[in-house]
Amino acid sequence: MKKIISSLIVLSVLAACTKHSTTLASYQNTATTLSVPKKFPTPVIPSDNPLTVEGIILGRYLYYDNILSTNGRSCSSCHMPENSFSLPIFITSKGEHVSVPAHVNLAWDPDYTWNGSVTKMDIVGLADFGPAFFNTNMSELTSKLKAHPKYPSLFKQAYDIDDIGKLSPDELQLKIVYAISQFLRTLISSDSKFDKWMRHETMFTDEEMLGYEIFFSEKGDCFHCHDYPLMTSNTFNNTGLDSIHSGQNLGRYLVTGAESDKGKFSAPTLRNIAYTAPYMHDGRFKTLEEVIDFYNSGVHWTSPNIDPIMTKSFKKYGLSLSPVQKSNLLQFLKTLSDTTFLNNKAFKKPLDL
Amino acid sequence: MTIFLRPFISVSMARSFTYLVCFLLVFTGCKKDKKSENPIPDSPVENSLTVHLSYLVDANPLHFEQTEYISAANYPYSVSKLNYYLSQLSLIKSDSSLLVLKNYHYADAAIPETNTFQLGSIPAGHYVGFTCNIGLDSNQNKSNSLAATNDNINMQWPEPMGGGYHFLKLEGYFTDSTKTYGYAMHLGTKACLVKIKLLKALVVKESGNTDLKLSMDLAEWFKNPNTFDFVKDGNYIMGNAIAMKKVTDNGKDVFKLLP
Repeated sequence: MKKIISSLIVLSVLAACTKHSTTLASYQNTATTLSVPKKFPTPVIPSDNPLTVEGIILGRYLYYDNILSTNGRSCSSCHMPENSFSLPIFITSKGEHVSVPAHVNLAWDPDYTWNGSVTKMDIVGLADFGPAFFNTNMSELTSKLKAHPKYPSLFKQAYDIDDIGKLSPDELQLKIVYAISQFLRTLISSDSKFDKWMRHETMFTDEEMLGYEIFFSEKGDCFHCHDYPLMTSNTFNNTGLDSIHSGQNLGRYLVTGAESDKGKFSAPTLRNIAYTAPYMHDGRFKTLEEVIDFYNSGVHWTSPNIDPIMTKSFKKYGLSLSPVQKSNLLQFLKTLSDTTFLNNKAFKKPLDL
Repeated sequence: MTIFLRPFISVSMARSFTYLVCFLLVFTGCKKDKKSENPIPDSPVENSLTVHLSYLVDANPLHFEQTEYISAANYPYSVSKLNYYLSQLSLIKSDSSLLVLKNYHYADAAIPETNTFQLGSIPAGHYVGFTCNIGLDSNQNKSNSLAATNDNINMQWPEPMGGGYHFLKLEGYFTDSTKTYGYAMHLGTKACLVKIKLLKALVVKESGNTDLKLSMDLAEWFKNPNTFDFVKDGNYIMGNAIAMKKVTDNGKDVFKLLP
């Protein structure tokens, strides 16, 4: 990671120096890899979009730049760094409330969106060019990028493209979302208090320790869907949010059409969960306290396809956690906050944008 | 060249060189003994042994989420998940010693790629059977002992509950009277290791492939010797030592070798 950050800084400075240059920088494409934290699985990098230092830089600029839209939006409008690259709530054209998933450790996600409708991160962003998000005018975008003091060089360095204007709209969109995906794969969180505790670098308070034991035992049974280190099982589960499913609450069913997938949603990572309120796919719970209360006493046990691990005969009426235990669990959840990640300058808006 | 060099090599230098060669040979030999996931290399192969895992429920084909079966305790039930480890997969030689084929294998009944795997360069000969564990032996069942894959991570058995890995996750739904509930038969910890021994004459040829077909009948987890009752014994057994023991004891008969 240090290698990537150093390279990013050096190349950012170089890019800034060429701001007023009219000639394109020479093609310079430097293959790089992710620094995989200990105990993390090996991430899958698609062969058609290998990581390059220059691709990551281009992606970072594009992620924060509203040049992509006709309405002032950029990716970061809905994925704000201070919220672990998420947004409190997004209201769709249908009036449905959607909790915007955090951009954290996406390199390990096998599918994207709450119902897993997309299985390749590199193309998730293509939909954002539509009227619901950027409402992009492609010919206008092409002209703006071409005339921009920085992007011609950045595209040249990342993709060896001499003239952005010669790309078809589809080709340009693909280049843009591929670069953004490269940047997204670098957004790695592995330095929370819980990580440090696992590495024997820090101590838990008594409350955090008790919360950890609730989380990682049958008492709270959170670990089956949110195990270390990713804090997500990357599976689809119906945790009993609703007893009847309709609209977006049908979840995974909207992708597969299988009755058994009604009400199932992708288990989100709990990393930085304290920064990503509100909660659940539709943001129905405003606080983590509300989430804990739901699992303690609000689960709809008659929900069709409710995950088998939710329907325990001796817990039919909830987890039966006491107020103190609920508080302990909350304290543990807060140990998943990674301020090193949240404050990482390499992940933030480029200073010269 | 040798004649030319000889005057420049002293006796002590030659002795040192000999020691160095011996040391390197020993060192290289030691490296060979290092434990690997597969004691027998996968390829290149002169011959091969292909292990096929298949699944039945009371001799009926396993259909996830769809078919309702009847448990030994008379509950209609379905299956939604079957994940498990096999470990110390071995052929039994005629002198009862074991040829370990693979140290461990993760299988998800719903993912075909995990239910067929090929092993190569098996010593040809006559074997009298096959043996393995369902679950991980004590050498492997330690937290973080397995490679950090998504599958292994999702099979972790939490430290506050003893650490290591789930040996088995068998989940689905059952009906009690008119209401449907979930069940989760999760096994882990040393006491829940299921030992499988299947005696059957097997011939591994010097070339070509030999198939080893293992069929698990899921209904066996709920009977013989213990008729497992989802309501009385528990539909969520992780952490319930008595219920886990009942299911573990039933596990010895779940596999059969097919012709």
